[in-house]
Parts: sequence; structure tokens; C-alpha cells
Amino acid sequence: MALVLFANTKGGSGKTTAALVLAGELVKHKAKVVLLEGDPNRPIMNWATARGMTVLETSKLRIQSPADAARMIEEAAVEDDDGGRLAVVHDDDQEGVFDWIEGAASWAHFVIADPEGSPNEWLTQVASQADLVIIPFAPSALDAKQVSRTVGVLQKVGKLSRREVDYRILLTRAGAGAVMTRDEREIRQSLLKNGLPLMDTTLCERPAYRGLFKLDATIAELPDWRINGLDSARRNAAQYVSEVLSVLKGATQKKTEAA
Amino acid sequence: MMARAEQKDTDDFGFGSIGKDADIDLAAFEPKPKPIDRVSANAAAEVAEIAGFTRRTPTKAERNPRAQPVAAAKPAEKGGKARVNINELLGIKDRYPETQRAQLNLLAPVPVVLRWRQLVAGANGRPAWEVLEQAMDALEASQAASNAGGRS
Repeated sequence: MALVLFANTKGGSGKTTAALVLAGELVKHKAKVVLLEGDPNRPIMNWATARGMTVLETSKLRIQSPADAARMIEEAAVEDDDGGRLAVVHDDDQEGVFDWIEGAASWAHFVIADPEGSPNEWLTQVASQADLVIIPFAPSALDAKQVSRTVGVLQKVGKLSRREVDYRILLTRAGAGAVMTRDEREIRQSLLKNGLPLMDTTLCERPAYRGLFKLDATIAELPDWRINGLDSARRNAAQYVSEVLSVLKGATQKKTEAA
Repeated sequence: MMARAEQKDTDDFGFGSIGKDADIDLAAFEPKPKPIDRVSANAAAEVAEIAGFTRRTPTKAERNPRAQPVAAAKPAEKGGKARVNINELLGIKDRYPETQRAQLNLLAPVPVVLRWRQLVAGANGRPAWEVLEQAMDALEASQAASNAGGRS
């Protein structure tokens, strides 16, 4: 099981989109996935509700143990046409989040956590348990400062706990043109110069990603006739998921070797 | 000029098989119990506190204020919120203006709730809290009378 957290202390960085793309692609490939939402704005809960899914709202549920959480997740999970399964948990009770993570871990291949885009404790609590933290980053000077802040917090958590928090920076919402903007180019160069782990794949601004929320769908479910450039978006999504899995596999291997 | 690497032609990650119909290897991600790393969790809480990160929900101790020493309530600031968290004001008297409002939620048996709704409906448009206040006044008066009777 892998716990992946999308973290940025600033909103509008593309966290939820990146989380949904990852979840949708993994489910399409027969994985069992839990989307764990910690955002009081409830974008994922609204998305799931519009699809007719049962969303587990933690403050309305009483669980005695992680086993209770696992049972509820299994009951709420929805199976797609290919055999993958998706469950959505909206966590608005910070103190119970660890029970839900433990419960989800015993049922799912992947738990994908999406916090609020603000400096909040839920984010750091989940980051402390995550196998991988992805920091989505719309390349602008304003966002760059918040990325530095997020990275700083992750590094401090790692230092204090003597457990390295594995993280990657994912550029999102960049223009889909072949040539990148000056801002983006300079930010990329600065990240690389400072040794920050930038993912090779960029999730560009594409109609398909906006379509996820417009049509309450996953990338695989989007209708070709309604979305321009869907094939490019699907290739982009597959590339992104490949890279995430590669990083996760590397991290698992490193842990096994260390043990 | 720097070209974007949104899509790469080569597969540097060893996952070239992922495509529209290919499966991914889930063997490395089988579900299994994940014991919570409490050391990391405590470190995260400490870092968040130092960094000034906000909590989304009150802690258990905050939810049970009687177990805590009562802090002085801040007087309402001019132009501040008209709604307050009542837990902050428990055990403190006369330190808040009547203009402040707090939410009262309670679960009760259905007949009691129905009786309450009928009382409010028959109150000629007075707000529910006034009906509640009147009922509490009556209750306190009857308790005071019975206490006085007991002493005589």
C-alpha cells in the first residue's frame, strides 16, 4: 500500500486535479484506491456525490478501530468497468485521520490524500505518514514562495522525526504550448539548481483536466466528442502516473534495503 | 529556448507498458496494515505548531473545557464576529455582550422535539431562543420556590 499526499500551502496549485488524475488512472488499471479528502471546500466530495457515490464523512461516523474504517471503506467503494475500485473519504475530524489511514491501508493499494490549500495541521499530520508527498506547483513567482514554505516544513518534519519525507515537485497548470514561458523556465532552472526533486512530467493546463470537474468524470470516462485534445491529455496522464509509480517503487525498494 | 518535456519519447521510468489497455503491476502495492509512525506524527505536530499552521478541529481537551482551567473570555471586539464558540465562555459570567450569538445543538426524544416545535410555532413569531429563555425562567422560578419551601 502506498500513501500519496498532494501538498501545497497555497490554494489553486492543482492539487485536487493531480489527485483525481492519479486516482482515476489507477482505478482504470484495476487498483483499489481511497481518495482521502481533508479540504473543507469538499471538491472531491462534491465530485463523488455528483457521480452517485457514497462519501464517508468521518465526523458523522463513529469508529472504534481502523478495522471499522476498513469495513466502511469496502462497503462504500464503487467498482468501475475494468474491476478497479474507488472509495472517497471526506475527513473533517483531524483527530481520527490516523485511524482512517490505517483502515484504508488494509484495504487499498493506494491512498491518495488531498488537503486544503492552506498552512494546516492536517497536511503535516498526513505528510508524516506519507510514502510520497507531491507538491503541485503552478509556475509563478507567487506560488514559488509557497512551495519553498511547504518544502521547508517537510524537511523539518523529516529532521525532527529522523524519517525522511520523500517528496517531488510537480509542475501543473503550465501552458500546453511546445515552448515554455520565461517564468516557468526560470523557476525550473532555479529548482534544479537548488537540487529540488522536480518531476519530469508536467500536468499542463488542458481542457480534459477542467473536464474532470465539469463532467464529474475521470480521464478515462471523458467523452472524446466533448473534449479537445483528449488523447494528448490521456498520454500526459499515463506518463504522470508512470512517473509516480516509479518513484513509489524506488522508495519501497529503498525501505526494503534499509530494513 | 527551452522546450517543454510534458511528454517524453523515451521511457526513462520502466513503465512503457502503461497505455490505454495495459495493466500496471500492483504487486508492490498490495494492501497491508500500516502502523502509524507516532514519532513522525509528533514531530509533524510540533513543526506545524512552530510554523503557525492552523488546526481544523478542536482537540479533545478543548472539547471538554471543564477539565481545563477556565481562561478569561476576550471581550467582543468592535466590529468582530457576532457568533462565538460557547466552549470558550463556559464558566465565565458577564464578560460578553448579549449581541453575541452561539449555536445550541442537542439531540432529544422525538416527542420532546415535537412539543418544542409546537411551542415555538405558537409563540406569535417570537424567536425560538426567547421561548427557551422563558421556559428556563419558569424552571428556575419553580426550583427556587421548591428550595425555599424545603428550608422553611
